[in-house]
Amino acid sequence: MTNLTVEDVHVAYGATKIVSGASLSTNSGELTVLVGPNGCGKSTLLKAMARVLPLQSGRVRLQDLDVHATPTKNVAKQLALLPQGPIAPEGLTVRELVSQGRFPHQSLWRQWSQADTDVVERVMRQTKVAELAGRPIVELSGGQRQRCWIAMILAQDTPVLLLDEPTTFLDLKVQVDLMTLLRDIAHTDQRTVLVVLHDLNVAASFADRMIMMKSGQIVVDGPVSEVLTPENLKEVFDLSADVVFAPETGLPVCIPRTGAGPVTAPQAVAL
Amino acid sequence: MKHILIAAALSLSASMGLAQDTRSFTDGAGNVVDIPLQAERIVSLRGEQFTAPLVELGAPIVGSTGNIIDGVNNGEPVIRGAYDLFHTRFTEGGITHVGTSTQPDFEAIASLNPDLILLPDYRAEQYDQLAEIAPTVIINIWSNSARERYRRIADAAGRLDRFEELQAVYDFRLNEGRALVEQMIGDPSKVSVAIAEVRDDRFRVYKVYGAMSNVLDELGFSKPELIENIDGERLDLSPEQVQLIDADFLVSSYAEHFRAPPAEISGYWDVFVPGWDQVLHAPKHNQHIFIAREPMRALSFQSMSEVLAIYLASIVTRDFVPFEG
Amino acid sequence: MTTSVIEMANGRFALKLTQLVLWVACGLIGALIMIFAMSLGFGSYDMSVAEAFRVLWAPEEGTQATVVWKLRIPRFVAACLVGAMFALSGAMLQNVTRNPIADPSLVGVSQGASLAVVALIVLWPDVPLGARPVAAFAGGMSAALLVQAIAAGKQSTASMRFILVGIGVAAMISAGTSAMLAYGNINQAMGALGWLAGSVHTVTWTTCYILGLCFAVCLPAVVWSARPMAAFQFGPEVAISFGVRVRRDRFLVITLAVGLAAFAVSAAGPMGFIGLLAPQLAQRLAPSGTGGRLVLSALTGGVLVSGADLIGRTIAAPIQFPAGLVSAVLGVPLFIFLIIQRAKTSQL
Repeated sequence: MTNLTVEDVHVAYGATKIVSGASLSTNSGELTVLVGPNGCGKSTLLKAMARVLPLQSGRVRLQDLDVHATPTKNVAKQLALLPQGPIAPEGLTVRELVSQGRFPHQSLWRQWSQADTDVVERVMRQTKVAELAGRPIVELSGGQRQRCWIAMILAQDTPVLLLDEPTTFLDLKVQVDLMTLLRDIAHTDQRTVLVVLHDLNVAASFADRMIMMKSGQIVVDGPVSEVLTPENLKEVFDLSADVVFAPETGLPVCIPRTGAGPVTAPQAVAL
Repeated sequence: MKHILIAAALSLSASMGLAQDTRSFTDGAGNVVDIPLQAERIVSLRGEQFTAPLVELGAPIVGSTGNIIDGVNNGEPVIRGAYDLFHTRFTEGGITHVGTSTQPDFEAIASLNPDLILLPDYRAEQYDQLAEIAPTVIINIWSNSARERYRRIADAAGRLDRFEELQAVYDFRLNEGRALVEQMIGDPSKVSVAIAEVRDDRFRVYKVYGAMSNVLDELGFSKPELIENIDGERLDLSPEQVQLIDADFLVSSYAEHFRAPPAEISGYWDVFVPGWDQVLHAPKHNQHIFIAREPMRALSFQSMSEVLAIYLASIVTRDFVPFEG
Repeated sequence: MTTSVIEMANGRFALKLTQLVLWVACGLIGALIMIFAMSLGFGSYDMSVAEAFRVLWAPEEGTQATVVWKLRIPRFVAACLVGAMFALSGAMLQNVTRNPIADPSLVGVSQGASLAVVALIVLWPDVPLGARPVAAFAGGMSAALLVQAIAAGKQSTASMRFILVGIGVAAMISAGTSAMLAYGNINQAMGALGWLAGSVHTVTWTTCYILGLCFAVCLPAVVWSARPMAAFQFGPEVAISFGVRVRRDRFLVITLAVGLAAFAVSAAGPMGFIGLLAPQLAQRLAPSGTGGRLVLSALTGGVLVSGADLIGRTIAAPIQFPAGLVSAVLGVPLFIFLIIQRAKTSQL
């Protein structure tokens, strides 16, 4: 059980404050989704949690480790980050990319071990990229590529995974597949998975917990059904929307009010 | 006893034959080098500075640097200066081409089995390799006057006596010239002469330029103040500064008849310094003198004698319109 | 592609290489041995390869021994070292900036070293030759520090910024060198131009010893650099996530790259293309991880410069072409050929 806790974190780019006093904590076995309007500081907070950005004040803790004060190599065995839109070096094959995830477990003298091979094979099967192992990354589709990156951070074998917009620019079906994979990782492996997303409905469909940010601060934090409400959408996103519940799954769905006049009941039923 | 005598005689003759007589020579970089009393196989690493004077001295040269110059000597490499002045050429068994002065072929030099190598000071970085091949002497080019440089070359080659002979002949002629100057002009410093050229969009004046400047100085003529004050050998000017070099006479060099003849040189002036022949006193009054560049650049008493003759004919012994600066 | 893991000491020491990398490395070493043999046997001094090898085993006094031991071997050794150092420098800069065109001469290192040496030749002609390597190193280092200082923003690890600042500084320094050459004494300017051609023409064993020592000092650092570089190729964020101290290691790798280039420039003058060409050629001969790429780049650089020097000094003898010129003339078409060959399967 490794919990990631953020305590009153402030982050700034130069004089510009991006995150001002964010606190949250995540739990093992949970898929937590961080949402908020563009520029609200959700990616910045994620980067600060992954020590890519320094803190102005506050603390990020992994169990009892201070992420920003612990030797970075030790943190790397506990916490993995997949940044937005990562770029693979030219000519790299899937297996080579996934193998790079073993980096924190290796040293200059010990570049490879049987354990590394075992982990790489396991995560490639888990992410369903094993059959692509020998192919160069550049030849793959966007969805396949993103699976490889997820496999890479899985190979890092950390209890905590942070992902920044892993589904951007992908088809809905591919997004669904990826989010299913991430949810399985959280639930079956008992890992902490925190994902920054911008698609509210995709987020609502998979998240165990949803955190909404606005102007560098966390506004609401809780189970999806409690967080995704018309009131919160209005406050955080300045969005007039209805939240309805899907008939099959009972999951909340956000439908923006388009301003084309009141929708009549019979039409809504026909949908 | 007889055997001992023969052995002694043999060893004596062997030692005489093997050990070439050498002397110690301090070169321009301060290296103390053991060099032959009279070098028999000299390699020269600069055409107009070393090869030309060595040819004039009659010293035995086995190798020299050379350049391939478009349109000259049928595209075969030439020894600048020596080719133009003495028609010295690379020949089988005579002087062998050892590459360019920038990057000579050390192995080609080693093949020649030289007993003396002459190297200009600005190529001192080649000294270490050359010294492995044969005694190598660095001659300072620009920090020595032409005569001092020539004397050092003759000294290194073991031909000082020949140098003195040549110098005496030239000095005799120079003194005749100086007497002529006194007779015709009086105080030579009253006559000012500027050396200037326009080439490749570049207007350049010279304080030092081979025999051309050397003989002017030895005759005692003066220069425009701007040129006199140059720190170094030359200076590039902008066309607007043309009046600063106004003098009684203007001297320019030209290359062989087909490369850059005098007419072409005047053409460059017309383009780069329009109206120059009206602004400047010398060309306006037909007092612009042209001298062949390559023979003039060769370090030799022959070049100096030729340039002396030109100056005596075109400045000293004729009527000219004095420049009222 | 088959991957081999070379294990020693019960798995405590393990290297991972593809077999292609091993084969290509062997091929390049073979090429170096070939070039060495040809460098021994070919040249303006008339000597058969057999004779040259005889002299190699029995270095007696005489002109043959001088030619082999004092002229041919130091040239080969220096060419290999200079080539390897430029290549490693280029490979590191390309990695750190994540830009395939990075090269010590693109980001001002070679220009800084050149300006320092030309200034020494033109302004202080009496300073002994031994000061040139020191000046070159100081010049290259200063230029790199200047570029680093300007390019290093508060948070920025942006590589494009480093390249752009590097190009700007390089242009500024080159202008300074040109001015120095234009207004210097003609003979000194000529001396400086000879050095600027980029050649191992004037190297001696002393040069080789100094270069060898510099290389030996840098080597542990080069080995160390392979690991952070493996992480850098995915960008700074992933590298941080992998547990690399990105700011510190980036600075160390750049400093190492600059040091290698500055040492090489001080011995042989600037050779523009080697740092760009060798790592790119190596990568196209055998795509590999950073460790393998460093080894192959160094070998390729050695082959390029020693081969170019051999060709340059023999093809039109006694005219000697500088190795930097020959390697550019021969290497660039080869490079373009490889790009076209690989165009079907790769993005570059």
